[in-house]
Amino acid sequence: MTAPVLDVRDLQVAIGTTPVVRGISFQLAPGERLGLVGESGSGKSLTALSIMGLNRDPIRVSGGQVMLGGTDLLGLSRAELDRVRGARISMIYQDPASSLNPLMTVGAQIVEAINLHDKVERGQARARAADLLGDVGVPNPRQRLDAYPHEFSGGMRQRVMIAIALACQPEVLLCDEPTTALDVTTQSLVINLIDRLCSERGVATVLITHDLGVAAGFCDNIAVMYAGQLVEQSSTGTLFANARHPYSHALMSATVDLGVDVTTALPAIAGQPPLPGTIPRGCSFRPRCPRAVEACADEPIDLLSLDGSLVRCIRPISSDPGSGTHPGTARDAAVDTPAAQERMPNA
Amino acid sequence: MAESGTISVPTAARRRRVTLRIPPISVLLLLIIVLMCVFAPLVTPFGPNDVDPAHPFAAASGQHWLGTDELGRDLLTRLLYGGRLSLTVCAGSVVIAFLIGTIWGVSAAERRGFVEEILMRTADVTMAIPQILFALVCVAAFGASLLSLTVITGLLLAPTSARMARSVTIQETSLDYYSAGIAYGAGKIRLLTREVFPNILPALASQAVINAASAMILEASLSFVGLGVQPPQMSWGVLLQQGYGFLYNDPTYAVAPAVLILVTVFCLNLAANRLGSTRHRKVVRP
Amino acid sequence: MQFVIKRVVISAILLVATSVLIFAILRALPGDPVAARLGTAQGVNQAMIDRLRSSAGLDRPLVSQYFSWVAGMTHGNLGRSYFTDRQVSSMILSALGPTLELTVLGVALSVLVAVPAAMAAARRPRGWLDRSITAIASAGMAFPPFVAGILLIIVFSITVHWFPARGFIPLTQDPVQNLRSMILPSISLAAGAAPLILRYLRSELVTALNSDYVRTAAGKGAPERRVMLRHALPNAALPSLTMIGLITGYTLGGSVVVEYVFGFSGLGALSVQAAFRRDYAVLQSVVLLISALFILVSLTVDLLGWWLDPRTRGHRG
Repeated sequence: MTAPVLDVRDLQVAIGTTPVVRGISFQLAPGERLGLVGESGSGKSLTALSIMGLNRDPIRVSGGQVMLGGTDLLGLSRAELDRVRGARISMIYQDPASSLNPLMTVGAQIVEAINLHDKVERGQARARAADLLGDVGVPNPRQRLDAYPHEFSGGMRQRVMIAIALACQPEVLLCDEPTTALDVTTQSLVINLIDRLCSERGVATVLITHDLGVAAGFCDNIAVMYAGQLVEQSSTGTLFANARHPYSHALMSATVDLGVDVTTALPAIAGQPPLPGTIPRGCSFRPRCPRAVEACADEPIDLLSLDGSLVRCIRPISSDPGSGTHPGTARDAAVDTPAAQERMPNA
Repeated sequence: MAESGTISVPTAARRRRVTLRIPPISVLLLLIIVLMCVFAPLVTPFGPNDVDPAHPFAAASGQHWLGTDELGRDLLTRLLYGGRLSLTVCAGSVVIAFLIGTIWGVSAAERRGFVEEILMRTADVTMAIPQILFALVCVAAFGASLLSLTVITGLLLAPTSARMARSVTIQETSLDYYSAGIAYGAGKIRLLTREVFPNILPALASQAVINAASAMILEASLSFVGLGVQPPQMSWGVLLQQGYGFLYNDPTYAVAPAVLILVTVFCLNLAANRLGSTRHRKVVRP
Repeated sequence: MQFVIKRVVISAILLVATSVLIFAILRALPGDPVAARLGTAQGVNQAMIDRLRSSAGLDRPLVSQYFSWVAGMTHGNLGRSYFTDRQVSSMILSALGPTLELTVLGVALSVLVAVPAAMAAARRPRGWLDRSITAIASAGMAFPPFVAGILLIIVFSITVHWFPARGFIPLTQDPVQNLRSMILPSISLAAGAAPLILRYLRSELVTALNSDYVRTAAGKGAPERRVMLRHALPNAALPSLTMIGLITGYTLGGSVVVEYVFGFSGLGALSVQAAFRRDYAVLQSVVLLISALFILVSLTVDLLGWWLDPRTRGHRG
């Protein structure tokens, strides 16, 4: 494996003194697409914002490292960070309507992104901004440079955000639910655009979403988050075919079997995710888990390597659903509830 | 916040009771100032017009805590007696502004449409003239007796109260209990006086305290330029005016009433802030 | 465009209503300013009073008096003072300078102090700097302009002789002395006015700094300074523009007493004098003029905000 462009090591984020992201680690190879999926409140967005150093009081990073190339972003001063943000690592945000400055023309905002890292003369910066706007599929890019954000539709605004993010050819692009605020019809257009531009430019991407359908089509690998931790990480194919953690398993079966958006299907998992500060001991999914046993409550559970996947479970689901249960869980197979079995993939 | 799921016409249930533990320093200070003025004869051995021509502009001493004026009158004594008038005008105008402003604002909120337009545009017009100039016009027309000063100041402050009253009444009557009450056939007047009024009272009271500060400044301004309280009657503004005449002889003469006005206005502002924020505090149900 | 027309019409109506109100109050009582002026002077007889009354137009019906006042205004004729018989318009013209300068300087000083202070305070809401600035601001709000003026005179004119205590030197006569004579009066006005802008702008800045577009700017790599000046400040300043109108009213009102304190013969001093003498011809025009200035500034500021905001202005021309 080549050296990762982004290496997040044991990232911890707290709101005040309450931990909300509890030790996230992942690596991103050049050009790789990693999906970060989970319910809202699982800490996905906070992870991305913390990588960028964009957290606001009272949210702060309380531990870990974010290695971009050879430098730890968390150890940089504001001035040093400003040289990295927008140049080597960029981000696209959830709500394009509020993410653009309403008082500046779109052109001025793209030119600003260029000029902050690349001191080019005015006309040249404008030309580059027009090219970028054209690349992201805004018609009449030259004229539209002088338009204000309110004169754009939601999808077009998100395209402008993409142009801003890619203005300086970053190595890493973080996309925080880039399509959530958009119409269903424009969602796939925007995802395809990100897909195409990132391939062309070789940008490594982290896609944060709760839409597994989107993640399936876009990502090489997927990491599932629950209550501020990764519970499973594997290649997209493996995860969809063979989710090992009961939580991701439930997520996958909801999507794959019913073919509906996870947001609507999530009630299929009984109960609510724990609130920050009230996370149970041991496995944090235990209260909602159909496979939980007493041992799950004993101690924090590590992320274990299992057939090429990483799984945070002491009783993972069998890797081969066709041939009975996993050896490690055989003795408890009888206690599986019918409801849990129903949710098993029909492979 | 609401524990019961049913919509009932809440009687006492929604009535807010603000828990004030120890009164804040600003209120204590105001209380001390007011009490000292009211009981001036008990506080000071001098009369406000006791002249001592032998000791004009005496420095502060054990006998005269703030010194004496050009006629040897005790400054502290005069401040306390002057405070009686200042505070009277202040209190009177606040009451007038509260009564008129509340009726004005609540009726505007209640009778939406034409009546509201007329009432609120009237408020706009009166507020387009800077207060002090409006006061000059009124004093020129109606004279500067104590009564007319109080009424004029009260009328000038009423539009501000009216605006506040209107906005909080609109907020309050848009709540479910009000429409439910109307649906149940409760009388409008009854609902407004028994249910709405207690709930908007904290906001109105906070506005009244702000008005008290404005009234204090207005009275002092008018008296200072000679169009307010007329000597030999005295208020803090009058004393400031007299001290201003002797600025080079004895700065304390002007500083004392100035500081007293400042402290009072400052405390009133602080108290208003506090009163405004207690609305969001935990409410105690009886 | 509709907004502009509506706003202009409302201001015009407001102006007319203000003139009616001022006129009505001054004529509400049957007191006779002419008789008051002549008083019990020797040799006054009814014929003299009547002659003066008719020359001032006081014997005509009120409505006709009002309209002749308004009609005169349109060509600069505001009538004559009941008291000195001078042209009201010339009295106003000679008094306009000090008041306008005082108002402009007072507002400018308030803005100059309030904007940097608001930015400093908003950087870390509830931090020590924010708390100190907010505390100083609420103390400043307790300073009525004339009280501030007297205290400033005691400190800066009497104790240390830095600035003159009284007197207005016209700008045309000596710009340096003019500025020296303006410093204390301007500070007196700004003491109360600056906190009004400061508090409003600070809270708008806090909102702006928490907005998504500010996060975008930081994510682009914009330094803190640039984020504040280029992104947060314009967005916060736009709604705060209305405060400029408000403090202009405050400053115009405050100048009445501040002029008295510092011995300026401006509009404020003129209005006080007119009120003393019950010289309605002067008083009504001065008060209307000051109100008109206030209404005009509020209108201008509103239209400016409308024009500066691309969302309301619509497509660029």
